Amino acid sequence: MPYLPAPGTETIEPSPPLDFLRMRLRMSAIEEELFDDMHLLEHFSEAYQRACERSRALQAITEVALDGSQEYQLPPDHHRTLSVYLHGYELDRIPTRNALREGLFGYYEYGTTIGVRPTPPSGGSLFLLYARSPEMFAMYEDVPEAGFPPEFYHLLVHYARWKAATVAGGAQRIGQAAMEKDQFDLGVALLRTRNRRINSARPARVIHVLEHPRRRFAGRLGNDVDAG
Amino acid sequence: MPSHFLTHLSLQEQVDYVESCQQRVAADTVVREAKTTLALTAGDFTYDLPADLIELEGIYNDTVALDDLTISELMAVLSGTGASNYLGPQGYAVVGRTLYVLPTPAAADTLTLVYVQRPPAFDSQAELELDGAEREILEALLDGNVVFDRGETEVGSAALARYMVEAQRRRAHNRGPVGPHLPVIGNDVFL
Repeated sequence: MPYLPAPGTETIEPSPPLDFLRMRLRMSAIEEELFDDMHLLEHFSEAYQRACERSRALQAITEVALDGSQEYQLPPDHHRTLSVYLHGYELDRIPTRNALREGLFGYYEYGTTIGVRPTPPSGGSLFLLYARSPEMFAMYEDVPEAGFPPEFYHLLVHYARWKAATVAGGAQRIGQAAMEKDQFDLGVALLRTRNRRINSARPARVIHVLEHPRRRFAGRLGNDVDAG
Repeated sequence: MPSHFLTHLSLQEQVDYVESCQQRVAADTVVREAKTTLALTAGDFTYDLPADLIELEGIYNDTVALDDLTISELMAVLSGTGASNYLGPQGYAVVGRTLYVLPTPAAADTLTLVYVQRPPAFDSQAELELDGAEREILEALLDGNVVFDRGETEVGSAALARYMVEAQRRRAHNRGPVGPHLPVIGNDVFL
C-alpha cells in the first residue's frame, strides 16, 4: 500500500534535488524580493563547494609524468594536496619560503604549481592524492557529484538560510542565522567523518614506524638528508 | 499514515520530503545492507563503486576477505613497484568513488561486495523502504524538517537534535556488537 494517500493512479517522481531545496527555502525563510532564483543558485553552489572542500569529500589520485623539470602544474580541480609519493616514498612538504634552499628533500606548492626538491630526473611519475573542488551549479537541474550524497543535500538549505538571515539582519534573524550555521557546520563535520570511513583513510591497522614508507628526517638540513 | 505536517503540502512536495528524509535516515542508520558481485577484468585495477553504495563493509574473493589497505599503502604501491607488481595478498582501497584492487588482476575474476545500500527513489505510489524504528525516526525527521522550513527554527532545531541522537542509536544498533577490530597496544600490538 502506498505510503502517501495519492489521489489517482499517476505516479509522481521526486523533483531534481535543487528544485526541492529551493522550494524548502521559499516556504518561509527567503522572500523572492530578497533573493531571486539566481542568487539562491549561487548560494547553493557556494555551500556545495565549501562543504566539499572543508570535508575533503571529493578525493582523487593523479599521476604527474616527470620530464626532468622541477615544477609541474597542479590539476585544474585541485583544492588541497593530501599527500605526494615518489618512488614508493611519501614526500614531506617543504614550506614555500624554503623552497629554494639547498639540501632539502620534499615538495612545495605555490598557486597552481607543485615543485619537487631535489629536481627528479625524467622518467617515472609523481603520485598526488588531493581533495577536489566540485564544479559550481549552472542550473537547477544540476545534481551534486556522488561524493556529496543525497543525505547531505540539506546542508545547502542551511547554508542559504544562514546567508539570507545574515543579510536580513535583526535580533531574531541573527539568532536564526547562528542555528542555521551550526546545522551546516555539524553536517560538514559529519560528511568529513563519513568520507574518512568510505575512503580508505581510517587506521586499518597499526604500522610500525620502520615499515611506514616515509623518508624519516626528510627535509632537515645536515647529514641526515639523503639528497641522492 | 504519513505525518500530519505533510498533509498541508502538495503531493509533489510530499514526495520530495519523503524521498529526502528516507535517503538521510537510510544513510544515518546504515539499516539496508546488500551484496553484489563485481567482475574484474585482466589488467584493470580500478573500478567504479556501485551507484547505490553508502558505505563499503567488505570485499570477498570467494570466502576470503580482501585486505583493507590504507590510502598510504595504496600510494606507496602505485608510486613504487606499481599495482601489477604488488606482492601482498589481494587487497583493496577506496579513493572517492573509485575502488583500487591490488595486485592488478592477471585474469578475469569475480569479487563480492558487501555494503550499506541506498534505497531506490521514492515516488507517490511507493511504500516506504524503512520500517520499525527507522520508520519512526523518518517520520520524526519529516516533522522536524517541515517545522524548520515553516520558520519555527527553535522547534525544528530541537526536533533535528533529537533525530541525530536517535539516528546514532539506531546506527550503533544496526552495526551490531561486532565492529571493525582495532588493535590494542600491549595486547594485539607488540612494540
